[in-house]
Amino acid sequence: MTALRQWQAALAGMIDGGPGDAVCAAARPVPGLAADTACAVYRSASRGARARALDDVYPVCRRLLGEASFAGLVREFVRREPSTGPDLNRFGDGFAAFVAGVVREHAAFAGLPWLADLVALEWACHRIYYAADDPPLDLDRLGNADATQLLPRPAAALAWLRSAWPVHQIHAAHRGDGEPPALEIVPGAWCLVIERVDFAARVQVVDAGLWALLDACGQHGAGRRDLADLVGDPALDSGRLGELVARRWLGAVELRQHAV
Amino acid sequence: MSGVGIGLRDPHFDALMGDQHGVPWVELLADNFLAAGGLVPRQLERIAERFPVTLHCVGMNLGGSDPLDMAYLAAVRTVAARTAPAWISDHLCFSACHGRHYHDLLPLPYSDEAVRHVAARIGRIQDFLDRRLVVENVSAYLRADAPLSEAEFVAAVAAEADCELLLDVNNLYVNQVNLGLDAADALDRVPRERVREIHLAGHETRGDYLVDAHNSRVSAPVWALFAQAAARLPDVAVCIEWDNDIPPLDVLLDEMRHAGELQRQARAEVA
Repeated sequence: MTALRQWQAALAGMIDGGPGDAVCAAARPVPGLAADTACAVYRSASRGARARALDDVYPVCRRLLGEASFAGLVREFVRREPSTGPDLNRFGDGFAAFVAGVVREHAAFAGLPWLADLVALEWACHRIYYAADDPPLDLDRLGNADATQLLPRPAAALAWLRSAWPVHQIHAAHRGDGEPPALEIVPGAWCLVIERVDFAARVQVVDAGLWALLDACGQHGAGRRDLADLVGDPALDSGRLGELVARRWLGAVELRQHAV
Repeated sequence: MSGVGIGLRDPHFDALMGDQHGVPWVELLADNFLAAGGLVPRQLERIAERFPVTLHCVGMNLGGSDPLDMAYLAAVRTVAARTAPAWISDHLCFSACHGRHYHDLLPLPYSDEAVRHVAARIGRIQDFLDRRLVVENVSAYLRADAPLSEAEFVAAVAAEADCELLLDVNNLYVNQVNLGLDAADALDRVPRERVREIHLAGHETRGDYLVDAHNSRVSAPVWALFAQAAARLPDVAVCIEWDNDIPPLDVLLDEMRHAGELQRQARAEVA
């Protein structure tokens, strides 16, 4: 490993929580600023940048938990979870899974069984704010293509999630700065769709049939489903595909790319 | 592009879209405008209709050893297509390692190896963006034990990459206090013909050292150093940066006017 790469690996490892010994050994001593103090400045700055990003993404969670409790969660998440890209707006998608683990494992959060779903809802609102615009859906372009070759896909600025808790109501009640209304939180089953309307996220409750159809259209990778498969699935109400189109929840119908 | 502009930040967006307030141009932090859809591209277009723009980036990882992030560079190129910036800048540092991004400006060793490495990467980015990049000296809290001075390092990178420079005067001062570097000497050694922009910002004092916090007015010693810089570079564009604890716009405009006055004085003395 070259000296440059050694320096970078040492500094990065220190910020990730490793010992600063290698950095201190490679640094030129300077009066007034000890190397271990300098390491702490870099560690704090890097983690602080990621923490501030989460502050902006999860305002409702932050308000509900209070500054100290939210900051504690964020601090631990940032310590564990690296950022994997240069765009800070994409950091934090794993926070819901992290919070779910915390709720499971820590008695202090036992009274907040809906917290992870609320975090997932806030992430969905954040993500779709920055999502790409889909061009208008042009079904005529598809011509007489075989249904096995057609792959519907939800709009980029759309998210959908299910919860056993009324997280959409919790979110709406605590979104503003004012005193939140009294809310009785009882378990149930809610299917939510989050869409971008006038550049802002709007949360809707939909029936389970429509939600399942949307979810089937939104499968990725090997699980991606073509139109023939969707129409032939007796568990899906594929007759409502037109409703997805009318609501502009389908972003595209793509043609399957044959592997050569 | 000339005169003194400001870094446009979200709290001032509405005020500056309503009235130009005498601001001749704005610097946009490109990383805040990478969104492919929604409101952000529309905001960009509105800004670019009202102001001449420069783009400042923090994510190119110019000195890193990971492969260049072409998706990020493509997003920056899209922002540039929407705003027609006078130039695009980023920092002479690394910000990612082994796939992890640190969202901070991490110092490079001032070594010949680092010069060759970062210059080659800048060259590839310049090819991709089809323009010369403007590269900024960073503040630091650590200095790797390497043979070059900061000024020699910056000049060598600029020469080898044939890029342009953004001279951050506050960073020179922070490094003087923190690392014992000679800011005035750095001003003397900077290849003036390559400097396209000067940055001014506030720092935070923490005991014996300074943090480049961008959260306060420009300090008196940095104004003094800027006066020296302006005497050497009287026609170079200047930008006031303020990123944290962002004040009312009037405060920023006051800083902008003061920098303009110092620049005018420098021009008069040169003439």
